[in-house]
Amino acid sequence: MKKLILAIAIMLIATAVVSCSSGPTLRLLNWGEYLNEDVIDAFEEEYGITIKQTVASSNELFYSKIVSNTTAYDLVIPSDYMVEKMVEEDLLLELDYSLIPNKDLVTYMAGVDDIYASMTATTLARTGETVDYSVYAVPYFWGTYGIIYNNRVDGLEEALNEYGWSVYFDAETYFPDASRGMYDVPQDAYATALIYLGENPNDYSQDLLDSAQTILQNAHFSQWADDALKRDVEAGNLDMAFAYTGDYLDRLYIQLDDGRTLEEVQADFNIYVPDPTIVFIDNMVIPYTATNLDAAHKFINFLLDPEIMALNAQSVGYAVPTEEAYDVIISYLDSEDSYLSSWAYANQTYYNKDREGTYYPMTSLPSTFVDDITTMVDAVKVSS
Amino acid sequence: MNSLYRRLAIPYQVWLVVLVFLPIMAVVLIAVSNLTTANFNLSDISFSLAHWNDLVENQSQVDGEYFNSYLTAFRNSFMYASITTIVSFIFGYFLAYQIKQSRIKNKFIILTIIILPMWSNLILRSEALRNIMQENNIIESILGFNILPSFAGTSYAVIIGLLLTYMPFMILPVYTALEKIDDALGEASLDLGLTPFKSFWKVTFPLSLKGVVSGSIMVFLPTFAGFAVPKILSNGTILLIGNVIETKFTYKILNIGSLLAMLVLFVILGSILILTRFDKEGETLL
Repeated sequence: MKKLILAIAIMLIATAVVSCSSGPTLRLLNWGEYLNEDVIDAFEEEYGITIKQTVASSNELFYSKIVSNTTAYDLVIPSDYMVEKMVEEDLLLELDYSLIPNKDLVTYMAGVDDIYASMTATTLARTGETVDYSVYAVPYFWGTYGIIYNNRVDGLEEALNEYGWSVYFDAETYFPDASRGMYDVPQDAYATALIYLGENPNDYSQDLLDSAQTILQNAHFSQWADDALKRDVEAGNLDMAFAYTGDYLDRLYIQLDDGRTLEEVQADFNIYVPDPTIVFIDNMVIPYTATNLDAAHKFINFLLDPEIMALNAQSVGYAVPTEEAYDVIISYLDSEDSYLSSWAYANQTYYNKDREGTYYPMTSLPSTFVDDITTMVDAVKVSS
Repeated sequence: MNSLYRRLAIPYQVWLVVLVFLPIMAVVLIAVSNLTTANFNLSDISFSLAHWNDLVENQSQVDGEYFNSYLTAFRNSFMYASITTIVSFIFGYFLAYQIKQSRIKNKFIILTIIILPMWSNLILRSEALRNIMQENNIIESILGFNILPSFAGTSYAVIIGLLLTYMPFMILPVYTALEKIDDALGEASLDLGLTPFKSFWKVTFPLSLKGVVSGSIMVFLPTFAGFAVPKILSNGTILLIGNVIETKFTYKILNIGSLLAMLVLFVILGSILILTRFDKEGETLL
């Protein structure tokens, strides 16, 4: 018995020693499954800095973890509207671009620049201040929203390509028998309805709210859900659903892994990215709590390396923000490895850098507006 | 030794205070004051019933008709909880009665089979149920044809899901109550000239009423306050009050969410009062 206790004690001490013997660390606050393990290994090998990752599932959690300051994070990866909020509340440090030489070697994609410009515009409208967000943030991944559709329905693909949003929202004119699903996030529902109306999705007024309600009611949604949407379209139980392009690619890559070809999957279900559409962008930012500024800048610099960024994108279904990383991905088009070539093809098809469109990142609306929008969407659901 | 026992009781008491009592106090406080996540400063707190006004005056217009969506959600909750309770009473009571009457020696096995589904996760079970209620489902892909019509997203789907989930809560207390009835009473009533049918209604049923009441409450309350099963099986198109509260808290609309939660709490407390009138010792709750 004593030997057993001794053995356990030695094991505990050994783990304790191992975990605190390493050198400098980078405390990273990230989304789950959002950083390729190979990238972590490469970074740790190159700089001798250990990455300690904490995972959170929402921007609001990122925010509360930084504000509460129980752990001093060196780097965080929040989305667009949360960056706006963090800058507004002075939670972020300005980046030292002299420590990020790779920034001069890459060009952000046009869509990324549009998103930053749009963020600056919404901030100006709300607070009257002009903020250059590239001072605080370097893009990590971005992505569009689109309409995942069941390609087994005759004519749906052609109709979407020709009439866009109308096919999705105007259920009385187009495909009245088709089932439609909406993301179960009230602000997303409101924003898409405004885009269909030709308005800026970040605007708010009682009139817009009423019009959005009418639009959402006329769409006769048969489903309000999150992750279930993509799986239901995939299985053929739902005909159209508003979702992240990354949601579609996620299912696509799983099917490719199962040995199906891209054409086979597309014949079953595909995604149409309308114009204009909603986008999101996740950014690397340094919170004021950061203790290892050097490591944080090194990590940002490392990720901007096109090869590394492309490697990171291999395990994540979103779009890379720089043209150079995009070119690296596209260079795999003729790869022997069918997974890599399909991956490159998917990027070329769904995240093409030459794609022109108007992109709206969603801003964080004041809580009274969110309350009204939530109540409006509840009313739409209750009346269905 | 006694002091050790007392100390062992402390962890759960702390737990109750920290995770049950304090949160309920916080909910009550937030429901009647101006506290929010952005403004959680007890020093400039002010009390008002403004949220109650928001609740009552909330009007939505659909096709020219005005309605209050909170009221509709409350009505949905009452309706689904009542239907589930009544149907589980009808089927659950007679199942419990059959088990009690049957000659099988090991009745424990049968009761175990009844609670067996509860060993798997509620969300997982509901998702699986939703899957087989859809047009293209796992059974269809194995057999090549559907054994059920596709009705996921309808109110029938929700009621079936609620019944499958909560019926065991009716069967078990009813069975316990039936088991406690002395067989001699039934035999005596037959000797004194009652038909078996009358004997059941005049002797057995009144004596088992305690079990029925606590079973009904154990079905009614989780159905009334729950949100996961209706959300999954209605495809998010049917809102119970639990769903509304969940949305309010998700989007940090704490005041109205707390007020609604308080109203649900009143319904629960009211039900427990009814329970204690019928079942003073609370024995059938076990």
